Amino acid sequence: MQQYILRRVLMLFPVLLGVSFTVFVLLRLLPGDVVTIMRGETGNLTDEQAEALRTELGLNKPFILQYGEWVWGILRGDWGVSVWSRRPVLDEMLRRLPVSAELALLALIISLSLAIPIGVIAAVRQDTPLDYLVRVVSVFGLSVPGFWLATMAILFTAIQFQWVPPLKYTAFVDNPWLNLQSFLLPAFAIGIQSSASVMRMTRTTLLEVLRQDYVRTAWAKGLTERAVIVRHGLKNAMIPVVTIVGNQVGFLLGGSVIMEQIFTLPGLGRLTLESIYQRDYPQLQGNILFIATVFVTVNLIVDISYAWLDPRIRFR
Amino acid sequence: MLTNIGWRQGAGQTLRRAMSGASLLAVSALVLAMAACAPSAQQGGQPAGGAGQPAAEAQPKRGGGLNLPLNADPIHLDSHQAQSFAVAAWDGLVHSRLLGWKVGPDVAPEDIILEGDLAEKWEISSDATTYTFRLRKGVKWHNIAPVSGRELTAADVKYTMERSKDCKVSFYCQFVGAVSKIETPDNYTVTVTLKEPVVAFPYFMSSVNFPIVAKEVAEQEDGLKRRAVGTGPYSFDKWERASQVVVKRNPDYYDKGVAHLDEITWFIMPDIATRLAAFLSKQIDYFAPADDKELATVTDRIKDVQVKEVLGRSSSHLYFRVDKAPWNNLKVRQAVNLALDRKDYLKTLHNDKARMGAPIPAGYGRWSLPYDELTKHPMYQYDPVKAKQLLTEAGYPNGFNITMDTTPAHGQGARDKAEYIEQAWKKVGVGTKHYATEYAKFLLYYQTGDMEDIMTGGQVSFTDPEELLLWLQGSFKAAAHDPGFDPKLDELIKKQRSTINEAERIKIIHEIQRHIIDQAYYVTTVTGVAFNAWHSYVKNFYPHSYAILGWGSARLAKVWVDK
Repeated sequence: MQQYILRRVLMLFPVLLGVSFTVFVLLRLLPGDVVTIMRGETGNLTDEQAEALRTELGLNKPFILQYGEWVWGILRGDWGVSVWSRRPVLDEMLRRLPVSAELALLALIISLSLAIPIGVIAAVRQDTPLDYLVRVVSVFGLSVPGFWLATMAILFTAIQFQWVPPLKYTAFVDNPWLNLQSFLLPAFAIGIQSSASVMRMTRTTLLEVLRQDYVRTAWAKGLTERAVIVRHGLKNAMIPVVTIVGNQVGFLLGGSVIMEQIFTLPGLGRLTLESIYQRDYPQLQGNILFIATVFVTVNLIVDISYAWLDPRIRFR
Repeated sequence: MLTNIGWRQGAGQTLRRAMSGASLLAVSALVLAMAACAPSAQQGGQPAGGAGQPAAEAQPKRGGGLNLPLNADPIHLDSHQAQSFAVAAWDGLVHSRLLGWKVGPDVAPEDIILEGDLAEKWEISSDATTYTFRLRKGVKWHNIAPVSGRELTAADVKYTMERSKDCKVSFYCQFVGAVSKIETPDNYTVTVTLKEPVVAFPYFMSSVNFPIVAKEVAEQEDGLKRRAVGTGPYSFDKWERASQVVVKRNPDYYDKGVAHLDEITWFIMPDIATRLAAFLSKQIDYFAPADDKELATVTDRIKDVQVKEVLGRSSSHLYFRVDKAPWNNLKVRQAVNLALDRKDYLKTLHNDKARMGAPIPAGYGRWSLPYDELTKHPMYQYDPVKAKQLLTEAGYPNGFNITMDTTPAHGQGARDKAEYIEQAWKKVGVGTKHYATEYAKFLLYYQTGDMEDIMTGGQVSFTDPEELLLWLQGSFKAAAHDPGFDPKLDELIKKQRSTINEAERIKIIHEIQRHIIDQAYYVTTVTGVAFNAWHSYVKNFYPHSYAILGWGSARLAKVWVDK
């Protein structure tokens, strides 16, 4: 097991190297660079000034040298400096990370709190009106765009209750109540949406598990419904569910851009979006590499959790 | 130098605009769904300010705050270097300018009437080449290091002007390029000599892009990019990225009759549905509806809301590559103008809530070609038969194919426009391939004029037509405006520059517009209307075509709240 974990951890490095290279290449394939955007902002940079700026920013160096310098910097803990704000990339990222992390965490809590109980109920009450309702709702959740749900939520509360989440983000440590108000709607919007797939997966896998011989044996032993469903059924049905949840964590952390836009949350997703628009290469590369690291790490944790969920699984 | 319709609103608008289209649908659906059950619903609420400006409130109340929306985060804070409205929106309260604008119920939203700000008086020489500004005494910089409340002097104005002239640090250099000499005979007098007459020069001195800055701040590393220290009625308090910009009352401001509020906060809110929701729930005090439907949403929900429609200072045009075929042929340019049914265009795309665009937009008031004349101009009449005939005469009896560049950053409106024009021109044989060009590349086209055939684009909003004409020759490479391309146009532009008599100058500016339309240098489509809504407790607020949301100290500095 330890060897397996060590091997998986070592495998993260080539994966991240591949991600970093891909990101580096793709960014430079985008039309227009940061100097083009700066020319747009400043209005009248001459060609000579633009070239001088490119040289200053190192954009005229050979591509592979730029990449090498960046990777070497990361390995030394130097993530570079934002082209626009002139702040260290890592500082800016760490400043925004708690917002996205809190949003992801709350959304996940809401998602799982809704999805697993409802998925279980739908499986246990298969083909009843309740099951049909759950299926319809989950299809709705899968189909509806997140920004629409968020827009509906914010307009609904504004029109019906003259209330919208606080416009200014307040850290949890400064004022927990204000902080939670900021996250309430976006976490629900994301949570409801992401609960749909978890709900469906829980229902489907639980239905499968409930038809297994060992479950029939559990019933035959005279165990209570609760014991059969939760201890024997649900735990074994969780592997695909955990896989989905693991994937969602990565997406939630870096992919809640739209929610952060709509609910004016200064998170990592919004920073990434701004960096794309501004062609802020160091900031964008740093953000994406960080999100990719979180993504693969969460996936690793998910893989390891399989063994706990199903002792029959042994890693080699 | 700001947009109303706005290409300068930035790349960051791509997603926001894309989302706002959906948001608008969502708003409409939601409002319909809730109309019957909302507890505070009121029917047929008439906007109090809809018929005109409210009367001036006589007794300002001191204290309280104002919460305003800001569509995007500033990239940095240096107004000399940024053309961004995200800075200009509030910077005019922090930094003063030499001259300001009169504000009040008696000033039409399209008029800019200059008045003193840092300069109490100004004089213009008879040949319009020498401008003397007499500075107000006792004006203090904000009590923030490194200036720490010292007195503003002529040396500060001179430094600012020299900085503005330097194209390495200031995009405004193109507007003060005519300055040849700056003299400061004493601490309170600045004399500026120009190489050639530019009668609009005092207007430039009132531009939100010409704030007077302190050398001590500007010469710190990234000084003006990170901090704003000025002499305005409010002092800069903080800028939290992706969150808010806050200014607080400057207790040492020279005019004790303004700056009634304790503080003003701009919340950075990229999404229009969020801004609407925040306005409906009174978390923000001002809102700019995107169109008349959204305005109706606001007036239906808030019975005493104040609203005002203001003509924009930005016409939306289609710019040709007039320096190459087929656009170097006048008949081709005229043909595509005649192939556009502008009345139908206004109705279809703007619900008749906009105007046909003049080369100098209607938001410039008296400077814009009179609307009656504009709409009756032969080039503004829909005549597909004549369009085809002109194309045949130009050697294109079977028409031709062209490319048109737009950018997603301009939102759904730009795409709708391109699609409409594509269909209109198809009827006369001009096939249009529409490219949604990535914003950075689109910016390059603006800067170089090097697009394939045609590009769409709004204009930047200015104080005076002269600024717009200079911009068309400078930042934005509209080939038709390149000096030397059209000697008659050059001559007219030069002539208005030296015409001190305003009535005479207006005639010349009108003549310039007639000439541009006759030559069909671009297809002018519309001048938009800016919708403004604010809560009734916000007093003494007068939206303007140039400074809609109070850009510049004069407009917001006089606002107070009565909650």
